[in-house]
Amino acid sequence: MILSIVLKEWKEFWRHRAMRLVVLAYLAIYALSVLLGAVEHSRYESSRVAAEKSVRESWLNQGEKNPHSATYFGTVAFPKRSALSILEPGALPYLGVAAYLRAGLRTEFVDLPARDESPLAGLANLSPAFCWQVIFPFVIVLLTYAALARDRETGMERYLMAVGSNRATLVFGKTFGVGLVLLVIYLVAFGLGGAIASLAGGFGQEDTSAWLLLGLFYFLFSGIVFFLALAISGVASTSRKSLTGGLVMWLLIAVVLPRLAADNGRVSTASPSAIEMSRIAESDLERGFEDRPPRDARIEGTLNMLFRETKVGRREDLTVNLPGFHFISEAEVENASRGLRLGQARRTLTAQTATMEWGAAFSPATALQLLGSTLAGTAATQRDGATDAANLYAHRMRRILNRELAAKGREQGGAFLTGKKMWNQIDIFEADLPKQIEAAAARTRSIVTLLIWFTLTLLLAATSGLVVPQLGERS
Amino acid sequence: MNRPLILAVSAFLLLGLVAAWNGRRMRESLSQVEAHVASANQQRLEIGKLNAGFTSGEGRARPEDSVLVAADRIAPWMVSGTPGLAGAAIGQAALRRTIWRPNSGGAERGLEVFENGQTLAAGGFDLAIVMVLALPLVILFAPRHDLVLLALGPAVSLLGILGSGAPLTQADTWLRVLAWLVLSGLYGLFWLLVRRKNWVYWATGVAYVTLVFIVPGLAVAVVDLLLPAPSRMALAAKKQAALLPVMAKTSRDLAPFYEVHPEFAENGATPADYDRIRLAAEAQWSEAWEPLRQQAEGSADLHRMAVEVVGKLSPASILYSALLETAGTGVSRQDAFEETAREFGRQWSIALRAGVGRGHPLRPADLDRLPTFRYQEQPLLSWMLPAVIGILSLAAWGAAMQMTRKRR
Repeated sequence: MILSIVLKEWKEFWRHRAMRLVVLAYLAIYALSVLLGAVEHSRYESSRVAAEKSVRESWLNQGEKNPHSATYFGTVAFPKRSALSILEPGALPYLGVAAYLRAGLRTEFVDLPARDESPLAGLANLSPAFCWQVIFPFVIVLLTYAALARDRETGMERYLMAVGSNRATLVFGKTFGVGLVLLVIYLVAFGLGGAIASLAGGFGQEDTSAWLLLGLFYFLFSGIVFFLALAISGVASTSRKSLTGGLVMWLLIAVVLPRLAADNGRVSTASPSAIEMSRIAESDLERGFEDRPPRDARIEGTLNMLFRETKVGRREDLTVNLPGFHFISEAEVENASRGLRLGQARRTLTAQTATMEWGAAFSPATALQLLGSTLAGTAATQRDGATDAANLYAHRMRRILNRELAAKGREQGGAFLTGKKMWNQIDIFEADLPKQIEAAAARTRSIVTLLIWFTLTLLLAATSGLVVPQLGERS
Repeated sequence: MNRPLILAVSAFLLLGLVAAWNGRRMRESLSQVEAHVASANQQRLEIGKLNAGFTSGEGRARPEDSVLVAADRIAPWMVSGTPGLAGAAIGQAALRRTIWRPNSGGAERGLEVFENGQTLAAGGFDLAIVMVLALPLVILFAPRHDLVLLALGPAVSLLGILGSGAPLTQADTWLRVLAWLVLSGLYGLFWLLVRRKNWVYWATGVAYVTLVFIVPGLAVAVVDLLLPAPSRMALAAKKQAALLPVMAKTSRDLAPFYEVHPEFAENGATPADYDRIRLAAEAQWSEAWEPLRQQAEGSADLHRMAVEVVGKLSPASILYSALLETAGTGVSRQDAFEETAREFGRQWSIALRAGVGRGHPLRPADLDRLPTFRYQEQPLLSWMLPAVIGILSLAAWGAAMQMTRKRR
């Protein structure tokens, strides 16, 4: 009996021209969003490769220079993106794309792509992830709202009961019927997205596993929306009320609550103030921090160390370049200060994201956003690895160049020049792509939230479909 | 009024008030940046004054003996004021707000405000979002009562703006509020006219999602495809390439100072020499960099403008853009601020040149000669023009909807 209801629902759905159009339109929009994502990915990668080549050439061809001057010329690092970022751009528009690796500059990725975008991008950004989080839930509501409500509204439900149908059979038949249609749309969209992204970006093993997991989370989220829409259809007296209720639920789940959860994260812990960090960095260098003495004492300390090491008692007698040693020591202090302060700032941002993740208890879309972006390596925290690599690179570069000056620049001082052989000793900047599966596995709160929501909404749908109308009938 | 209508209106009002409360919190968080900047500037100036009156006892040069180094350490950070209506339409204010600083060559973006990319990517929840996304749903699906539904947008907007902490003592704020109310009223009218078409429910829903999400999303996507924003990576590479010949030329001159260290001046060179050479180097750098910067900014402006134009295909994007501009959290206010910052940078640069010309380190009296930055609110026209364009565009959409109705 259930099977025949399922088949009837299936056939009826595909006979409905308008609904077919809605489904086709969704699939077309989704495919378009994946294609646009692929174009953006390919554009980014070609721009990155060209920029990397250009800055490397600039570095190698900077001509003869004092090694310390070269630390002010520096180079620029550009982060890589995973192929899965085509499907889940996550926080990428809000993460910098260039880190200027120069003495005297903060080594973080700056130049956020979103800053050049129109503010309209903050309203609707047609990415594949947006399609899963906002548009597909809308399609689910549209295809589900009438599932149980229409039969009740038209009296068909009473008729079927009168001729001996069982309520459970009716409810499950309808549920599986609509569910089957949605499952087909889900599978087609998911497969299509994966195929295009894989062709365009070249999935590695990590990408493929992450993509499959992403599919699981999309499935859970879509299931949650489906069960909620079904529950509303199960209790609504008319299909109009069911659609209205479904749309309100969709607006809350897909739009309002994720935004509120994010804002709550932002204000729960004040974002680190850039100006405060800059002030603290200046103070660290000037007055010292932790066990580091103030600048004057450090200069004095370096001088005394050199006196001891070279067994002389006057500056004039030193056989090494004093400023060179001073630069080495200052770069170490700057690096330590930067590491300490950046660590503090990161802890604040991590706390914000954790608060946002707690908000997922009320908003499964937030859990999906966090899991999706983490699986694609596009979460904000996953840029930390590249930033650390950039910091390490900049520090190594300064150390090598300043050591060269300290060791060989005694006679000529600032006029000591070095050239291409030295520049070649500084490797090309390389940062690995962030770990995707490992990082997503750490988001246990989001995973558990999605599973709890899925289970609870499944129970709710079953309860409202089977129990509530019976109470209504008695009245 | 019937019960379902009261329920719908109450739910919308509640949503508006939650958005206003949330916006108020976000606005307070934004205004902390100004407090930090003011406090840091005060501290820098005090330290600058101490240094300006101090001479090293050992006769060795100090970094502050250079006018440029000393001025760099007291150069005031500049940031735009928090817009009065920021709590109503927070938009991407946190993203666009950057902290500027003057230097000998003018002014440049000094610091990017730290923000959590993850929370920014999720988007903010404010009154503008409620108006753009939720108002049409109420108008389309709540029980029909034209007058109530039409008044809903402006009424909840007014309450929300009052609740979002807008400073209502300024005439400028009231003008902005007025523009906001007209915009939300016209948007409501448009959706009321859509409702009058009496489409089947699901078709109304499809029309909603198409106009509110898909068309604005497509506008951004299509312009991204055909007229992309400039690649910041390419710009960084060009910047590095432009720096190459400048440094090749200036590094030799700056060799006695190890590029930026007048305190280590060698071979009889003095910090005053450093200032002179550094000024010339900065001028060369500005000459090389400015055309690149202008080209990139121009491309970004063109890209944004194209999105705005294509976005006119959806009343939702018209309203959203206009509300952000009206609230001062769009692009025009930041542009106006950056123009003010650049102008201040020019004044600062002139003052520094005069300081270098005097040939001695900065003295306390010299500090008084340096210009002081004061934030100026954006000109009226710069926000009013987009608001009026928004009003006219929404009116045109309403008229088009009305005309198609008559034809039927």
